[in-house]
Amino acid sequence: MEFDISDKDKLNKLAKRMKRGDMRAAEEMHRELGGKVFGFCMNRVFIRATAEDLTQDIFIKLLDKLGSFDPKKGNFIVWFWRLARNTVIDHYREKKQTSFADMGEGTVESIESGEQHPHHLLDQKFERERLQAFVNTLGDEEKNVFEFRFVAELSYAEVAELTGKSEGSLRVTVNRLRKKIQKQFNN
Amino acid sequence: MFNIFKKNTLPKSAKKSLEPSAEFLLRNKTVFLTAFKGKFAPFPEARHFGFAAKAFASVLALFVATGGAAVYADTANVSADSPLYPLKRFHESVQLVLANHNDKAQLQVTLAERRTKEIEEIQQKDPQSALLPSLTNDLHDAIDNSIGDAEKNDLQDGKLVDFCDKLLAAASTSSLAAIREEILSHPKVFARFDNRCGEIETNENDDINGEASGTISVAATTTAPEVTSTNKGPKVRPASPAIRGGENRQENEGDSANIKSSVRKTNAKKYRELNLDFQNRLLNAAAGTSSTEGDGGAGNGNSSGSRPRLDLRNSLRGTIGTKSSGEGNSGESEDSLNATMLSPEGRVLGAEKDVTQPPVPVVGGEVTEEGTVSAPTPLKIGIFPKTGDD
Repeated sequence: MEFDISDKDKLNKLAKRMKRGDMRAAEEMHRELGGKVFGFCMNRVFIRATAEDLTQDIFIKLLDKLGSFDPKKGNFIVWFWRLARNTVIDHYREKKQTSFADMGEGTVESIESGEQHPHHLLDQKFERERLQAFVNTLGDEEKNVFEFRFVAELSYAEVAELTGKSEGSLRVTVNRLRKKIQKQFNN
Repeated sequence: MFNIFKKNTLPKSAKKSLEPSAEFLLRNKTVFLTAFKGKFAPFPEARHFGFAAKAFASVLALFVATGGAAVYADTANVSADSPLYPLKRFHESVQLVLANHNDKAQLQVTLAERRTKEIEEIQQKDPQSALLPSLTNDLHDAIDNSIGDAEKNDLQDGKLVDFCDKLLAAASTSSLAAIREEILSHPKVFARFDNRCGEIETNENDDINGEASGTISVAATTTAPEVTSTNKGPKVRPASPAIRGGENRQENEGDSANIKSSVRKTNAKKYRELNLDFQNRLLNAAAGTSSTEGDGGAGNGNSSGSRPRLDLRNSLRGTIGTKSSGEGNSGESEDSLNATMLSPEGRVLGAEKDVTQPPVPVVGGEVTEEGTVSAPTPLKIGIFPKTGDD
């Protein structure tokens, strides 16, 4: 599912209300984006605690930068996900973590530190490792498209704006990704 | 199982691995909202105060804008069909409320003049305009209220003179014919005007504040003394300034006194014309002719054919009866017409109160059963004897 026009308008209006200090708008904004932002971060780091920290950082950064957001200059969704991506990139630069593949080892320990049922934890671990394995097979361009299109569930136009690609070439990439995902998770 | 890929979504199992825990979402939300509150709404009270300040400023701005528009509408004297006209009337109402009670009568005359000009403007634009009846009513109210204010506030001396002069001037100005028409068309209004201002305006002396009232002086001229009657007693107005203290006094008076004297004489003439006009209208109405046809030598005499015609019988009942009895009984007979008369200067007199001359009945006139006068003679018919204690 991707944001339709009403969702875009809704988020733009929420952003405006937030700038005016509307508490309810901030609450609603978090409800709309909280889960997706965590998934976006999790897809990058595959460590739950790190993804949670990054999610927190992104939302705090949203508040810091919201004053500079100008609805006349662009869509809030694009503006926000660009902010989220840059925050994750900054995180990697600070931690000197460069590769998705290097993060797999800590995943099990991170999950086991939680208080979840062992079977459930094992299922999650399996799925996460499978997803991580899949993501590691993707090139940089495909990773970006995967994150924005399949995890953040943005529209073609928004992904195109974020990645700097045309919508036509983006659709080709998405189709190719879809086949790869189908192949990966069919097996 | 993977049909959902057509919608560009991840498989459910993969998606679940990317979902945050409910605890984290709640914690993250709390932190986010706390930070938001600290950054965007640090002082809720101040924000409430800001809202109140904005509301107050808005109301204040509205008042200022409305007041400014009202002052502009009043200053520019906008036409009755202007969108700003209600503001102009509102400003006039405020002026009336704030005016000194001694000045209200004159202010009402000024408003009557305004209504007259507005009526003329509207008539020129659209003779069938729906505004005309209401404006005419407003004109009537302004005149009625002006006299009413003079009575209510019991204007004396200079204020009363100023008021009477202003109303007489308005009634005698050709461009303000509607005011004259309004006064002459309503006997009650004329009676009240006469009662309040008649004595002043028929006094040709510049010393009009009561010094001559109640005195009888013999004219030192070749003409007969002009004698009038008032309720305060007989009063003789000297025909020339010489009788008011001799030539020495006249010599000491400056140019201003001469001017005042000239004004009083002019006003006396205007008043006589107005009075004669009124009498002629009554007689014409009684004779079944149009009140608008004869000016009776009144000078202006311009009247609108649309004005209501005078009903002599009603006029007599409504004015003479009231004035004569002093109690508002309306059963006065037509004989009152014959029993009243005008002074030589045109003042309306009560025959029974005139102590120096016998009553002069209607010349050749005879009241029929229908209440009309068969052969009207405009002169020497007074309708409103001075009564009361003014």
